[in-house]
Amino acid sequence: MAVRIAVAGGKGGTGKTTLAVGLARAFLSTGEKVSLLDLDVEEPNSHLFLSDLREVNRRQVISSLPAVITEHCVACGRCKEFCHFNAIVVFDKATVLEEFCHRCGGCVLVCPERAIVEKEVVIGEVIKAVGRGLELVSGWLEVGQANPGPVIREVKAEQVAGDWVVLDCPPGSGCAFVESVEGADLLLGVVEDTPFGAHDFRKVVQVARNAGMRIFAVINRYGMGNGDGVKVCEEEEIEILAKVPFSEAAHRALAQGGDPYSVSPDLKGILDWIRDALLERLER
Amino acid sequence: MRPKEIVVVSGKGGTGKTLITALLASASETKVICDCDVEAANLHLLLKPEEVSSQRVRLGMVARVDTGACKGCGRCWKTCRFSAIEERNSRAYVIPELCEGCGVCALVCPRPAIEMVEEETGDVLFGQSEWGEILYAELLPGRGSSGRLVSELKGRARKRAMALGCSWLLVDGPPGLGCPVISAVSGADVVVLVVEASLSGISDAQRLLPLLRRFDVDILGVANKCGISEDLDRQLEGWLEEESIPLVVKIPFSPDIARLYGNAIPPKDLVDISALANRIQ
Ligand code: SF4
Ligand code: SF4
Repeated sequence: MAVRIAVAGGKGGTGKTTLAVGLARAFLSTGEKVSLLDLDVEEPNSHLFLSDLREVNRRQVISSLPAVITEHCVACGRCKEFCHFNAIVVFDKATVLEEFCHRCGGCVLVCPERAIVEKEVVIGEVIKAVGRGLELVSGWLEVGQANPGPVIREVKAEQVAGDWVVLDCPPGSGCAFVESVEGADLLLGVVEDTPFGAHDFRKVVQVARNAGMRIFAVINRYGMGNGDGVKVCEEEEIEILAKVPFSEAAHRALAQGGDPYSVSPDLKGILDWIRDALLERLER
Repeated sequence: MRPKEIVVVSGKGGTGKTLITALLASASETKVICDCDVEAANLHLLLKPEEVSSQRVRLGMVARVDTGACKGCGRCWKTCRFSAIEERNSRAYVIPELCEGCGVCALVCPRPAIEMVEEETGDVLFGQSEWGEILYAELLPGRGSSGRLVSELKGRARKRAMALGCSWLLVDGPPGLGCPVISAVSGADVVVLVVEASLSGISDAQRLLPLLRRFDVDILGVANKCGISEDLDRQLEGWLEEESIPLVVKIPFSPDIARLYGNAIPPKDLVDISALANRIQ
């Protein structure tokens, strides 16, 4: 069985993508088969650091959106009454407000006139790219679509070959994050050593704990904060696998899309260290 | 008069939205400040409000199964679009984290064995800071209604700003471009687009822009963490120019700023955003 590692942080910009891509490379360098899933479908970025991959497949994510057949609608208001998301307004006819609709299909079921049907709409894309033994599957939410959930699910449903599956998760601690980590074997937190990083990571930990996941942490930009990130891990009894010091040189290289595994020997060493620690903890 | 609504967004996380919001707060006389990043609220950690009052809000619903009444016919789990109901021990079992609260299962259940109950969404908090009144919210971890919490929070902040006769309602937006961002931006007069001068920062802002364009708002550009590479700076500026978005403030990349900020000290003396404040005025 493949091991699924969810890389998450809560706060945005803590280095999730850097660690996810870097760790995937580190596993790859020991001859392991690795797949990387970019689940931050609102703003996917993993591909920016893997510019040498070649796209092999691209498919659309389709969802159904209710549409009112106006000739059949008698404006009885049942659909509006049912909809829990206030996504239907009824004047002389019913109208669906696309931005609010969660595509539950309820209005179609309740309409006594069968005046609501579902039409298909594209809500995103799943793109697969391969190269240097690595497989990357990224999800792209169509801009203007509100709900990333179905696109995240589609990325996760993609058949992947890796024995190690690294999940680059979205920021936050809401539904997109929950969808992303669901089914993961362990959560690797990328935590900024600041009050912000600590506060946001705590929420992530709660979700992961509820799901019964093992949790490890990496402190990023160590030395730039007040120590709260380390403190929160100690309080939550989460093992810190590495403390990555802030390096201006690495920062500059990564900002320009450098591959985390090759921008600096120090960073490479840390990524190898984290990989080995995970192998050991998982008794692989 | 209706206060001017200013929303700070960037697409990517960690680009300096919260920092810019805080500095803008210090640049205006009368305002209410509102942190719409309800999944990872950070502004209050920087502004350190006092006498914070908190209120639990219930904005969503969740399905609850009466296992005694359930016969395990399976209509609910076959109909649920969100894979939020499973069969466990021949009975329906709701996975609350995945349930969107749509009520379709309760609708199709012939018994009926499913009831829709209100779900706690999170807390709305309100406090006084040296920089102004701040409203923020903490989504309960894992809850699905962050967009609704954002709308609720913003509604309250708007009322408060009106009541106080403020000239500004300052909003720190969430990352991404989904539901919470749409809720945060809707109703805005001015959007401050913070673009980090990195490949991901630029690329994320570029993806966000078409969404912002759907709203009737003025967009002002702020470039943050500049000077890492001339190439990136040029790319960033070129793009904003192409899109006719004025670049109002450029903030250099500086470990000193990051260090102060990392200790929750607003780096007031290191970053000058007066041009942005003036422009909004
Ligand atoms: S599909 Fe569901 S959410 Fe959408 S309009 Fe119909 S009842 Fe409302
Ligand atoms: S309320 Fe909707 S989302 Fe929740 S379990 Fe029922 S059908 Fe599924």
